[in-house]
Amino acid sequence: MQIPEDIQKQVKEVFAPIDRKVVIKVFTSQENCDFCKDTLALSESVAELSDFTEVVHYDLDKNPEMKKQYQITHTPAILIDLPEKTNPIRFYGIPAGYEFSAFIETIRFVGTGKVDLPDQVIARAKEIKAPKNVKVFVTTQCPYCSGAVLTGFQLALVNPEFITTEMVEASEFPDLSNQYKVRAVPKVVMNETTSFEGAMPPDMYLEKLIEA
Amino acid sequence: MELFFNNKPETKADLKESVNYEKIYDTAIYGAGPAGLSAALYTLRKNMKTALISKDIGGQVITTWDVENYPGFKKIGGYDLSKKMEEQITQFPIALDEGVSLVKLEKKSVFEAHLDNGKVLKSKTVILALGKKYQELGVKGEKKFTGKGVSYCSTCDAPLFKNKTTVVAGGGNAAAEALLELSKIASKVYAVIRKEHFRADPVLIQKIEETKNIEILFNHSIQEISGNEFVEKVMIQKKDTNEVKTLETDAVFVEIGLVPNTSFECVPSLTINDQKEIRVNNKGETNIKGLFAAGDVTDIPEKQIVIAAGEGAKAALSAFRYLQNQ
Ligand SMILES: Cc1cc2nc3c(=O)[nH]c(=O)nc-3n(C[C@H](O)[C@H](O)[C@H](O)COP(=O)(O)OP(=O)(O)OC[C@H]3O[C@@H](n4cnc5c(N)ncnc54)[C@H](O)[C@@H]3O)c2cc1C
Repeated sequence: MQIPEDIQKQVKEVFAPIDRKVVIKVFTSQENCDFCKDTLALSESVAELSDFTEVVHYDLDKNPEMKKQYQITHTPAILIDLPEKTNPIRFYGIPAGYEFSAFIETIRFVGTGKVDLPDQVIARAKEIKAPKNVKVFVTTQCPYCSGAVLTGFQLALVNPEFITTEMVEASEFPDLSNQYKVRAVPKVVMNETTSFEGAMPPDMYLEKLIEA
Repeated sequence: MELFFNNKPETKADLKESVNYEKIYDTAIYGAGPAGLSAALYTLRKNMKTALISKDIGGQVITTWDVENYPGFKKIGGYDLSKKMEEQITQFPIALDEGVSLVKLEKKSVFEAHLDNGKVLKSKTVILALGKKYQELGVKGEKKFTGKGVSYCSTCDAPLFKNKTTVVAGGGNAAAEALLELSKIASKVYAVIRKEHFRADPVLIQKIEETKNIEILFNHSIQEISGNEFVEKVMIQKKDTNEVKTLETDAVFVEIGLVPNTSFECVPSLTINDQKEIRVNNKGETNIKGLFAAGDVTDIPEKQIVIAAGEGAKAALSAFRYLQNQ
């Protein structure tokens, strides 16, 4: 997939400070997956923009055991490995449109080991000692959604042992959208119990997560 | 699905810092749409200690697909344009708190702004650049079902209503665009329009008339939105006959225009017109000394990005001059 040249240039600038290897695991399947091909192609094109990024592709039809090993419930899925090989963050659905910047920023976070959250939020997120899961439902045309995704991802990156965050492209997975009653995006579901719609600053987002 | 809209990855800000609530700033700007961002550019270049407080960065511009009338760009994505404006101001040492709202503004020896993060921000001058937000219908059920089928962002939420029935309220360009977008996703779209005609551009109206799954209901207004957990029905009324009808629907997209963000508690003597816009003179001054306003929140005649940016610059320079003369 050809990423337009001006965007390539911008992505390269964002990737410039990356100083460690980033493995992007892309899971695809043949059936019922309108965006598997595009997601793989997009990931590969993005990975070409830094010497530190690499795509590992798992075709779940050929490697069904990977589905279980990585607990992949839907395809396409993208996992971005942390150096300690944990996977606290995942994208279900193509990170296109407004989610493209969430994809790029997430690679930068992992590749630099730094996030953009305020220090107090980082410190408080690290104190969490119970498992927390965040699902952020988005559409690729939603300008407010990537912020909700990135906050969730950053919290997971600073405390990968206890926090996991998933982006879910709502229109690609009507089953999940129905299950979680998504009628507006971004919709953030925390620990299957708390949910809210709309953007929220990181400190309030974290408070909700602590309460969830 | 388009893979690359007009958005680009966010680039790192440089000299941006958090607001220090112990300090008294030369100016505090509320709202970071084109008016507020442009005002900040000017105050920062005048070395004024500047704090910028906003719910979001970009304002209405981030919800705009393509902007084709901002000088210097033949065509630029709204998100892109606001990122460029943000990057331009964060090369200066600006104190910026995003995700924060102005709740109350008082004038004591300096201006004191009460924010929804519980803090009070002090400044010698204030520039209000709060812009506009989507107007609500003001009918029963609207608030209850917001996020549960009632939506004010058709671009965001339209994809969630694949093969469903939807209603669009409004007859202007935004409503027309929402109708056309939804007609590609939903199985049926009702256009509920109070007037007896559209106010949209003729090209859009023609497209709507050619689209089979759009049913147009002129002279109708929404009276009530109802359902159990989610929107299920809207009650509409015909203007001339008062006839009431119920439409079964999964969503109501409200596209009836914008209202100024002047619902915060302000210095009581501030002059506001009957459309709730802040009155300013041609220098961006309000009737209160040291309090300036710019952009869509004011009574300036046209509401456009380039105008808001220009007005922001003007208000900033007026604030600078005001401080010089103190
Ligand atoms: C769909 C759409 C398409 C448009 N297309 C074009 C176009 O193509 N060309 C053009 O020139 N114009 C266009 N416009 C108009 C243009 O976007 C506006 O005129 C312009 O954004 C006004 O700028 P502003 O800074 O005054 O206000 P806004 O852009 O409304 O920004 C106001 C800011 O204040 C913040 N805010 C509001 N209340 C508070 C509070 N209490 N506390 C803290 N912060 C607050 C908001 O979050 C926002 O950041 C369009 C508008 C819309 C809605």
